[in-house]
Amino acid sequence: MKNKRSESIRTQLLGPLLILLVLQAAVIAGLVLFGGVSIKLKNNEIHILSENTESTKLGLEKETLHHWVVMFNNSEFITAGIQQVLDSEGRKSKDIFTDYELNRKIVDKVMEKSIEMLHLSHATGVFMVLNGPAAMNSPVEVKAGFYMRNSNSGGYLKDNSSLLMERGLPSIAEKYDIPLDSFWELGFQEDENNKAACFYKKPYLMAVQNMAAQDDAMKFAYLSPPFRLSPKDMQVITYSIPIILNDGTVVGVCGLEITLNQLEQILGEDQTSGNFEECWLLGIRDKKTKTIVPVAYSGYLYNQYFNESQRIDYEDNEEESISELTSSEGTKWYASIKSLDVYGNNGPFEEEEWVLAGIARQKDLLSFYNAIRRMLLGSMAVPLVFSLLGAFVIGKIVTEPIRRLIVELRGKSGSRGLSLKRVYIREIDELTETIEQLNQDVERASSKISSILEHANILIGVFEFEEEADRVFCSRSLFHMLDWGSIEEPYCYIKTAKFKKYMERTFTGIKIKGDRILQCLEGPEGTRWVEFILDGSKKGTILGVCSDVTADVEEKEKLERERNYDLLTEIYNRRAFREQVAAAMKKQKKNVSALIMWDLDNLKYINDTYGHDEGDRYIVLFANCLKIFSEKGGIVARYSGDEFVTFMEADEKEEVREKIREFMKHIQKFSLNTGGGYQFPIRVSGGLSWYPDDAADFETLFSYADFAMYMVKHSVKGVVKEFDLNEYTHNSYMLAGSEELNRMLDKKEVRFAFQPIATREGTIYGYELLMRPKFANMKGISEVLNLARAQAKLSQMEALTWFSGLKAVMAEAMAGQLGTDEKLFINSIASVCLTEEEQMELEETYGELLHRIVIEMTEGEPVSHDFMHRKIDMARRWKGQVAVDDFGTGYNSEAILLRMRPDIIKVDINLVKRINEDQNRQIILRNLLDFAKQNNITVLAEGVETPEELEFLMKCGVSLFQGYYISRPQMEIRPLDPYIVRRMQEFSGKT
Amino acid sequence: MKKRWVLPVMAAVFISLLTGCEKKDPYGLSEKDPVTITIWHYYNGVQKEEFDRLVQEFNENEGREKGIIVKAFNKGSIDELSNLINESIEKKIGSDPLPDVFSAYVDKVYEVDQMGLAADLSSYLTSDEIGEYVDAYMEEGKFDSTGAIKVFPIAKSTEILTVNKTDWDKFAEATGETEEALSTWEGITRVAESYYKWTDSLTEEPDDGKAFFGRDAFANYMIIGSLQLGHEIFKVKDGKTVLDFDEQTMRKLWDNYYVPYVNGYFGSYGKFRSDDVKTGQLVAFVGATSGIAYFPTSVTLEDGTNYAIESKLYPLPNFQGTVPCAVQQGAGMMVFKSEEKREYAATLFLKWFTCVGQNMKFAIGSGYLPVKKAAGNEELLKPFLAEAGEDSGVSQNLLIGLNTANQYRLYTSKPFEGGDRARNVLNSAMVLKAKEDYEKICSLMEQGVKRESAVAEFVTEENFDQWYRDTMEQLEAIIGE
Repeated sequence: MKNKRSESIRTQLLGPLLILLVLQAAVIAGLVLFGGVSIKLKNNEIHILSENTESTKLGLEKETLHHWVVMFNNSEFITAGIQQVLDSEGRKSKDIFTDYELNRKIVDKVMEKSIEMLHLSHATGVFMVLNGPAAMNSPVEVKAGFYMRNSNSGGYLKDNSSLLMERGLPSIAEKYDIPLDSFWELGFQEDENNKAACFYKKPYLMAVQNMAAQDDAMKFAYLSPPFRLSPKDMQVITYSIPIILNDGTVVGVCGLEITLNQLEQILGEDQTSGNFEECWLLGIRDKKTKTIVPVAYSGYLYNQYFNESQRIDYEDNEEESISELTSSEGTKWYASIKSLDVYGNNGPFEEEEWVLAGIARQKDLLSFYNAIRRMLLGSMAVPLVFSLLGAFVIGKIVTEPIRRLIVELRGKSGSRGLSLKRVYIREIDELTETIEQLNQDVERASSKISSILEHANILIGVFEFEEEADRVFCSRSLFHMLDWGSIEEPYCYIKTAKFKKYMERTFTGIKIKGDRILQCLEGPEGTRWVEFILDGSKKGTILGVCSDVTADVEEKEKLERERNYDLLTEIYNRRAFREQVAAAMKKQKKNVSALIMWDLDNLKYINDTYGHDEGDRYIVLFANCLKIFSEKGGIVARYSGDEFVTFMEADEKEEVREKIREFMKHIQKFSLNTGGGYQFPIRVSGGLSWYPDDAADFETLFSYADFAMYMVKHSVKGVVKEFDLNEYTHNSYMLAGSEELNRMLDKKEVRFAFQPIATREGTIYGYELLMRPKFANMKGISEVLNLARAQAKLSQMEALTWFSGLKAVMAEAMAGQLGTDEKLFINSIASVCLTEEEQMELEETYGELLHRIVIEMTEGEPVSHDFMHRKIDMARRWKGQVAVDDFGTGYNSEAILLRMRPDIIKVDINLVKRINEDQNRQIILRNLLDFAKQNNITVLAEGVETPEELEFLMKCGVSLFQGYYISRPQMEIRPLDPYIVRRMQEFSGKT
Repeated sequence: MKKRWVLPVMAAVFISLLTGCEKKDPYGLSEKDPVTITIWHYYNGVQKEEFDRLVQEFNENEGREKGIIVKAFNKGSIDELSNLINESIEKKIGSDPLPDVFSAYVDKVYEVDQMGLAADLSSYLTSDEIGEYVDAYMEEGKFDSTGAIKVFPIAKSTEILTVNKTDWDKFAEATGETEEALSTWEGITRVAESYYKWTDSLTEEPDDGKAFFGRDAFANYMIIGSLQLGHEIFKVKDGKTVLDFDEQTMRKLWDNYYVPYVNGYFGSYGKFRSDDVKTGQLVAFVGATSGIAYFPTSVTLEDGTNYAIESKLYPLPNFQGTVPCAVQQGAGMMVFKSEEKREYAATLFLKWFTCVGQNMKFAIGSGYLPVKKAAGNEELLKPFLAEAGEDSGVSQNLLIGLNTANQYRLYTSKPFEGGDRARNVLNSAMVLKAKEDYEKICSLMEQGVKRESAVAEFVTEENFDQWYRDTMEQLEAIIGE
């Protein structure tokens, strides 16, 4: 179980106090925040938005709609004016639909009063559209009427200088001195696709369809969505009513216009009041949906968040009776949405609801509310802080005497007969007494344990060193163990300074072995080892335990020795050598180092001749000589039986060489005195490699030295040779390959290729078996043979050639590739011969093949007469044949023909090459052919590579052919290329 | 204890939380308590739209940050505006309270300044800022040697000749007239007569020829024409105004306006001459560059006949053999004296409005010339011209306007006491006379008098002398006050 952390009284006091305070504050805050005040505050804020919206709505209605409705209620001057014109002209209302002149007069008639109405209405424009032609030559769909705009709405100017004519006849403009606006046109262009015509067409058609009476005109009032009168004109909305004459004829529409600009100005007025920012949106809502299509807006907030929104969706929040919406980038808004009093119930345009929305960001709207909440929380925090401070101070006053007691106690701890001051606080004084009592108990107990340990003969010395204290605890056994004298008590405290002096005197040189601290003490009874175990886990205190480990250490040293030294010679063994050299190489104090590999030359002989004891003496003798190097700082080791190594460092190579020369002289003084009184001199071969010139790593360095030694061993012996990289690269295959060669000879695993030998007619006479060893380090069969020769393994090679060659032949025969009559040419090594046992085994195993054998005497070996005759005999016995290989080069000269009397002469490629061009070659060949004919010898031409050569050879009368032109050696036998066969038949046919 | 700093820091945090920090403006502008600046101007139609748009942009950005709300109102024509200002100054019943800023010609400002109501804007502008404006424009607003600036230039205009090229081409083809004639007043008078006769010849009906030319802002014709011919009508010297109303010069002006007008070669019908071109009653007119929004693109006759036309702009014509001279006009903005905060706020808006970007947008859209030197830079113009279309009317208008400003002698009369009224006299004296007499001729013709003889009754020395003396008297009366 985890221990509970002890806490100061201060914390203990503060905790509950704090909880109390928080609770108190929470109660107050809770009362304010959740006791209705807070909610009321929030509702108030929301209510302000609603109020503002309501008043803005009312203001807007007053400025626009209500004003206009009043205007239209007083607009009978239009119908009256029209009626007057009709009466005075004696025309009927229907004539308006056809007579442009009549329409001009009507416009003229109502113009003045319309301008007046425009000025009074606070609108930005006034218009009248008559459902009749505008001018004589204008198209039918262009309607008559006028449309004027006032740039100074609400103001009343004496002249018409703030007016512009948008639609109307030039003569009217002239008469009333009204300038034409940029997009002035003569009349109202009616066009099905033109949205701009709705403002008069909609109410007109509605009135016509409903057959409205004159008094009903206002019921068909239509507030248009924003549009542009001309494509580049500013956006406006219009409020229009049909013009209905007494007789019920709907002759046109009149109305007022307000530009969006103006509308937005009205909306924008007085919006700076209040402690949150709002913006206003006037829009059209399809009845019963919650989507507003914006028409006009004001306030920079709108531009910032909703600019160019085509529609704004909102949701109703029933609880707070406000609507909520979210702008595209995620800000939350409150919206108070009020619908404008535009159309009466059940009016024809009731579906389109005009609404005004006051919108404010939720965080703005609630900023006061939030500020109040923040202040409340703040007012909770301030007393909390003060209370914390108070509690802190009180805690300090209460804990002070206890702290003093603790300090005193610490100062006196460890001393005997503890007595403490009283603080005169009852509880604490009682505690003090208890502590004193406890201390006495502990003292008694500890002396008990010490004496028990001593009596139990467990020698353990103990001390406790505290960083801040001026005394150190030491046990009696420690004194005894470290020869510090003796004390009476089982333990004592000594001054730190004294302790340190003792320690310095005792610990002359601490040996750290692994994680143990050991000290060697020379005493009258001999060397003793003492081990220290220090425990610093308690901060500021070091607990030291020391024990006598002499026996332990001695045992360990013995083991170590056995591990690293060669028992016979008492110099390093292989393992230790590697370690030491690796370390030396790592340090590399001097410029060069040399690794010398020694090999005793005559050990095998001595062992064989005088027995192993003498051999061992011989080894010890040499090892003692080698110690001369270790005296000079070299590292010397016995590597294996008769192999030794030396590693030494020097400033330059010559120094090493000199030492080696001295050494070689030195060993001449020693000799092994064998039993017979014969003084056997020490003879040793050595190879040397340089570090770091030759190699930088131990393995390579070692193998180079070994190679150099090997080269000496296989030549002169008895000297030391330095490693030569050139030599190594040339002969390394010998080292590397010997391994492979041995493997090959052991496992008898080698492959053979078959090169066909053809007759003049293109039939197969036989195959030459060519050995194809697979060696990683050697390039060809000649290197393998070299190696085998160097390793004295030629006899094994010969046996391998015979056995594996014939095995390969059997395999081909089994595979059905080989007929029954083809001759088998086998290359025999001239300098060796099969043993009799091998010969017998061969006859037993491959008897049925032997009569097909043609033994080729291999080129390049000095011919041994005995072996040659044995082989010839062998061939005769098997009823096989003998062939002379490579005739014309190497060792095989004419003399051999006389001695050997072969059945076949193989003419060397050098003689065959380009023979058709070279007369000298031709002469030699002719002579040979003459000789062969007379002695019944078949001539085989090797290395035929071109058809010319083949043709010439045939012409001369050569009987057998071998070479790349006829066929390359193949791992599996295949028939000859029919093309070649045909060529050969052609050539032979000629002769 | 380790955390002794905690308490003071916390205290500071609390105090700052409770009080909040506010940045102060030198003149006490604050975002929380914005000041509303009202502006009265005479911009109408497209210009008003452009102006309002910029005002809105200001209110939503710079204005909001600095605590300034600008409200702009159109108050009719410049004359109407001038009257309303007078009424408000006199606190006539029903008049609006004075605005903070209004657009006015220098004359008007001079008049207001005499009453001690115009604020000096120089203290709100650094000399570097003043240096950015075309010197002549700034100079205009300085009435004395103290360096006080009373008028803030925001947009300037000059005059330009616009021709209905479609109809001109027909006429030129038929008569062999060339557009060279359009560079002098004499040429225009001659061509106008030729045009009348040609149009007359197109119908059987006698004397039904059409007028060729008309012009607005007639005072400019008088003042600039007289100046060209060597007589500056109102010369202000050492605070005194000297009248130089030369009879010979006036005669020349008479011959090139009154005479062709009563003959029916010149005309004026609608409110502005551009209207007359649109309604097909005139072929060419001289008007302010700021009228570009009303640039005619088609002609619609009273009878509904409608055809598209191509218009072409020419520099202002001059009298033959004189140095080219043109008026430099366009109202500046005057700020009424009030508290520093309001004056400063008004200046801030005007400065913002005349920044090259804003000013150029306004200029391109409204046909005014920008007021900063930097705006003359072609590189700077390019993007704006490209946006409007290099060959569009507005671009041509701006380029010819800037060209005129460079190559003509630009003239604007110095303000003086009564200058406003004197100007009105010049604006109307000859025009009204011509109009009245033309109407008389028309009624004579209706009674059967032949045109030539009816006209001859009016084109007489006596008639001119009488007009000259009459006008002279009126002017002297104003100057003499």
